[in-house]
Amino acid sequence: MVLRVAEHIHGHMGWLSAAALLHPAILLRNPKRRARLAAILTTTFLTAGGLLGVWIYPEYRTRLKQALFIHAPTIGWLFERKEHLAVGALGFAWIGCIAHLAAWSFEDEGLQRTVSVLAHRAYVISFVLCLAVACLGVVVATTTTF
Amino acid sequence: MRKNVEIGAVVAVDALLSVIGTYALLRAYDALFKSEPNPATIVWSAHIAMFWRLAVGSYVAGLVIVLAYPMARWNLALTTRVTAALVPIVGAMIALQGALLP
Repeated sequence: MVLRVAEHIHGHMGWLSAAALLHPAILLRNPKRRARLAAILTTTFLTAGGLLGVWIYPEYRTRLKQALFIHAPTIGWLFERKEHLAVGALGFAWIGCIAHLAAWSFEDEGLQRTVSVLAHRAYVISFVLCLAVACLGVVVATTTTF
Repeated sequence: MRKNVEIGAVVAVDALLSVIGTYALLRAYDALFKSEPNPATIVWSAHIAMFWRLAVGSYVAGLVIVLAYPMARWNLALTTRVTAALVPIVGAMIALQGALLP
């Protein structure tokens, strides 16, 4: 029961994270734009969802993975894809957050712009990966659950 | 102080990029060159490959920090530009590996 609730919360957090990531991905198109709170809150929320997934993952392997691969191997491989892409989504959100928060410390204007663009690109990559993860998560969740 | 923040941020981004890149390379290597058992035949295994790849990636990140820190102190502009160029490359790596080599 706890795992089922946690899985549902994890899934909803995945979609909300994708929506939240869209915010810095759009805002930071302008390298001079500051959006510290958006960057921190989005990255924190995504990290919380990811940590919940990390907590569920060992139980998924124990209880669901074999049955999923026996009855629906295609969906099983979709789940594996989801896990890999989630690592990228989380990592790039952190990269975007660190780069955005540090960009204003750079004295050189050229480097400041480079780091701001880096932050924007990282958030765009994170958003794309997170959206794919959320879609794959729905496909898997409609096939099997705790 | 400000200089330390600049260097620290670039090194931290390099470290995170190395974790993601290592993860993608390790999984791609496993998928391409190792004959893995069918997941449908495995009841349970203590080895969680995903966590293992993240652990190896963290180790590589430690090595990258050792290399990137003196490089950033020596030439911050060059290190920052190289780091910025690596972002789309590593993004493509994890996206392609995730999509094509699950």
